[in-house]
Amino acid sequence: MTDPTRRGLLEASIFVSGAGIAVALGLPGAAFLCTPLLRRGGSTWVDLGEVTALAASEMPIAVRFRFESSSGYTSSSKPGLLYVVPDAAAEHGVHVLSPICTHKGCNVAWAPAEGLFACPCHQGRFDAGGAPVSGPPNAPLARSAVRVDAGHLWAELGEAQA
Amino acid sequence: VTGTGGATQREREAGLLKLLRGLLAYPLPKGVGWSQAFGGLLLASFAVQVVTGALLALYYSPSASDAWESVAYIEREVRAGSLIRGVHHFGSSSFVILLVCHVVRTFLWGAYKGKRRWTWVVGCALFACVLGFGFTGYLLPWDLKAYFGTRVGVGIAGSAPVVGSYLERLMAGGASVGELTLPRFYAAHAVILPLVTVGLVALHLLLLRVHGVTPHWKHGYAGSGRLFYPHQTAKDTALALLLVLVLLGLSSAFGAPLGERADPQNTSYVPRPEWYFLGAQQLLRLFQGSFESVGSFFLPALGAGAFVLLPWLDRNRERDPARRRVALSLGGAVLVSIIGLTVWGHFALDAEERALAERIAASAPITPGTPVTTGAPDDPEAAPDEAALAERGARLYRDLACDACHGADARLDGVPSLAFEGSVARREWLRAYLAHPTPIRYDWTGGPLLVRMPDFALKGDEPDELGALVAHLATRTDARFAFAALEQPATDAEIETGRRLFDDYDCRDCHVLGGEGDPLGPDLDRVGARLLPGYAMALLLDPEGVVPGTAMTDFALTEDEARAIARYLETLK
Repeated sequence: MTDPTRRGLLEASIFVSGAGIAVALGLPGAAFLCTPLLRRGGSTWVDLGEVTALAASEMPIAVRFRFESSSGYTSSSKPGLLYVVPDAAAEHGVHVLSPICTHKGCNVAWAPAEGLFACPCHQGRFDAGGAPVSGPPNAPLARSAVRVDAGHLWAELGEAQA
Repeated sequence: VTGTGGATQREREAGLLKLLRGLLAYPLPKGVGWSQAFGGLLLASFAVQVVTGALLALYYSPSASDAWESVAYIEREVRAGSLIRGVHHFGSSSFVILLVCHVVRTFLWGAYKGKRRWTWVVGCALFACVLGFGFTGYLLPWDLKAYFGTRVGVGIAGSAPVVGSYLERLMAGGASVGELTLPRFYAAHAVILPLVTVGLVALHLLLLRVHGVTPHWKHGYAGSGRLFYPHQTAKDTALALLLVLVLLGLSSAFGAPLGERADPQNTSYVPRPEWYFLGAQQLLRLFQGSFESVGSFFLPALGAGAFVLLPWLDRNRERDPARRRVALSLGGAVLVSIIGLTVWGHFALDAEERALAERIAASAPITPGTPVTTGAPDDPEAAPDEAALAERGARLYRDLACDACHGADARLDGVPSLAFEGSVARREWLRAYLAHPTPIRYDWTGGPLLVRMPDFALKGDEPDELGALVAHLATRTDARFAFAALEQPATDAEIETGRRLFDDYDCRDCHVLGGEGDPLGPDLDRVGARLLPGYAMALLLDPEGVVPGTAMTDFALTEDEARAIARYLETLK
């Protein structure tokens, strides 16, 4: 049997080599693995139609549209839905709300009798401004950034919606 | 008993170290050292392939429509993607090299003899697994090289006697290598083979542990005073670190190749397998015709059989190489033949690629974009033998199976219908395009489309295949594209209106013109030399009606607007 010092050195060299391999492959491997944390997708702007017509409405309008959505290496044409709510206080006479309930993610619908957005899943209610009124939701409906271009209202779809 | 002073070293060891030492600290015979490191290196290589392979699987998509894009995504977008993929790529080659070294070392030491024969047989199964990994992994990037290499490989399996056709269908998952092949190869590469390999490796190592490391023929079982752990393990891990660093270096210096996306119609590509299959391919070339199965099946099967049965075939109990002249000479001859065939195969393929390039260059004297004056002019009544030419073209159209992609039943994404091509494209352009197809359409990333017009290497004269095909296509006209208003010569004002409308409708949002715009739709550079104005006008008026399913926007243009834009496009020559 060789002396214990030499044996200890050899054992140490095994762990040094092993650690070297782990670091050499582990660092690029971790970056590879964590790419979704480091890369964020951009937002998409969608055309919702003529802003004057939308602003003239008396109640929120559900605007359905199709948009090109790309994630990673795939892209597809997807249907989308946003609520355009007449709002005299807003810059363009409207604000735009996401239909996704902030409780569990069902799509809310405008209930004309109540004058509120109603969620079919757990009876959550939001007012026309998107603020939660009753039921389980605590957070308001997401508002999209808007701009007007050549008389058309454009709204921004965030990364999660796109 | 007080304190721990009385405890032995062994009792104080922590669990993991104890396990390591208990399992691996067995004595090494004299003369065992660096040359025994190949086995440990193979184990480390396998671990590297498992780790990098698992990482690649996070982004890879094993479907024909996405595979190439997902690999391109790994290469271009994923952090360290090209590095990790490169390590996996070079790791497969180094694996084969190390494996050959391991086999040669085992052979030289006679380590397959006697009680170790089953270790050898399990090792042979592992060898087959490694080749299986190489073969199945080769297809996964779904580029030209992958596709055609695999088509040849599956074809070879298909030439096996009796069971060939069944084997081919089983491997391809259908009649030929295609969409259904990719998931099979992926499952084999990433699930089945790794599981089998892990099991076989465990068995291989267990047998090694049972029988011990083969001692040197000179020293026999005389102890060296050294232990597998830590003495041999230290050598193995140091070399493994070196290997990982070399793989990282190769990967960052060269990267893994990713060629053009697989295109079943491509005729200008010489299939090239992974380098370690070049020898097998060359063997195949040596036996052609009715002797094909000698090279593709009998010789390899015989070789593999003899390889596996070596412990039983070689009855000589001696392990000293000096007393194994016959075995060593035969083994050396086999090794030299394999290396020779591999090198020969490499140069033979190079020569074949050059020959094909020359054939294509010779048969396509027309460069794209050069107006062709030797072809028939636009006037359909110009040449007296036009009808005969068109008839030959119709036969050619059928023989080349153009309808496989362009036919009404086989419309692929991005492949235009040719039903009314005579009303669509100018003859000069068609001729130049058929002689040398250059992409005019791209996918949404601006990259090449999944399907691409192949270069059929058509002849320009004697016989004039290009002229015949163009003449045939010219007969395919449609009255929908005849507009009386287009018979009048264009006015400058009309062209100017068209140019303005082109800008107003933001056509560059989807079309590239003069290097500007997004390549979502076809390239409009020199579109005037390509499209006839009647077609352009009809398409502008009713995109969906002319090209069902088109992404072209219907701008609800008036006839005057559409005509003006068509007139403007006509000037873009």
